[in-house]
Amino acid sequence: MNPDLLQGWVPLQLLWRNGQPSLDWGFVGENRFTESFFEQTIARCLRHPANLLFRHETSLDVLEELLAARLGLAPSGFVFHLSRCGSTLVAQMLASLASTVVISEARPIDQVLRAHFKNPAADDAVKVRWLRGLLNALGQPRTGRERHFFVKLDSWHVLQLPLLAKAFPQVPWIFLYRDPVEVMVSQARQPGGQMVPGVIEMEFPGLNPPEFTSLDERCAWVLARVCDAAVAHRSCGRGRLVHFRELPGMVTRWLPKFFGMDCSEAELAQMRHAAQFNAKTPSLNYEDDSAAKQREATAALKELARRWIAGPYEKLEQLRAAQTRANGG
Amino acid sequence: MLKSPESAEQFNAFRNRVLATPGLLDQFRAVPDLPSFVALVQTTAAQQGFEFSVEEIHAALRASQQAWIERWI
Repeated sequence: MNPDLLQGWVPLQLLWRNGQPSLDWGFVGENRFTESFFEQTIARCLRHPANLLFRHETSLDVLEELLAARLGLAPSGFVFHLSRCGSTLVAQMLASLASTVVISEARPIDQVLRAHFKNPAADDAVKVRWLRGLLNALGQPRTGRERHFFVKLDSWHVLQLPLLAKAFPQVPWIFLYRDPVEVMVSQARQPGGQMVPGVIEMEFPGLNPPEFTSLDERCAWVLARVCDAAVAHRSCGRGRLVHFRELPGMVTRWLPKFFGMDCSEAELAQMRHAAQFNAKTPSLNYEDDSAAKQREATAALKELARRWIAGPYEKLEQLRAAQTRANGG
Repeated sequence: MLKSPESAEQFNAFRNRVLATPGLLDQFRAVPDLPSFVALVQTTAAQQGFEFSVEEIHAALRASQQAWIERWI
């Protein structure tokens, strides 16, 4: 396929037929990914009937052809997270700058990372190749003003951090987390897909979930696995741990330098302005809801958080304290 | 879905023709509303040797919408 035909197009999803993947592409043109999630921007673009009806479907080999023909922006940083801990705020602050491309929780990335469930031949080497091609396609400049490309992953992707680091060894990353009780309250209000049995294969690093007495307990177990992975992969590549309490200040204080950005005062002000709004519902103002979530947590939920997550959470806090000392306070 | 496998096949052939012709895609994207879009698809298809009713074009749109909505299933 002539890669010129894909100017302004992005991969929307992998389509699996009989264990073989193809790529569904959608036209975004010069639209920026300004919504909280990749899917929301795509939904906006697909509202036009031409974009809904006329979509390319190609083999994944096209990704490598595109990589050879048209190099996109290299990723400047990855954002991993525990879920419900401010990662969307970070992404929205970065996306407020016209000089960035910010892709948040894009389905095709998740599909590549879990491709071995569809076809065991999709081993790490294959996934590294696909990831490089996929991020090159997602990181194509579309307005001509972009200089930096950020990828916010899904929360369970920290389990595959070594694979991403293998594909992109130079790319710095952060892992965001917060008090597990507050995360569990948010998940109890509206469970994420990874909390529902059978939706996301949380076994993918070889872990077998035990029998659970409740969805809350499974939630605690999943959060513990994510924290465990962040602890285990802490020294993988160049990463930093970030607690929710550091938001939003760290995004303008040290993140730009860490991610290799040279931000003007006006750009920092732009990001601070973006931080005033609720990242998932921008019509509302942002407010720290930690105290409210602590009040809302039942004794049973606190006990589950203590039993399952307190250990890895404490390890994260110790590692973060050491990181702060190493960085001069 | 389109009524028959033949019309679905015909529509796919037309779709591939359009996708290989960026100028045509630009024209479709410039259309401001659904009725004008459907009319333009019908006219353009006829110029390319395809024949689709308004209902068939709507059916193709519905099929695309349905597939997109059901992508998580």
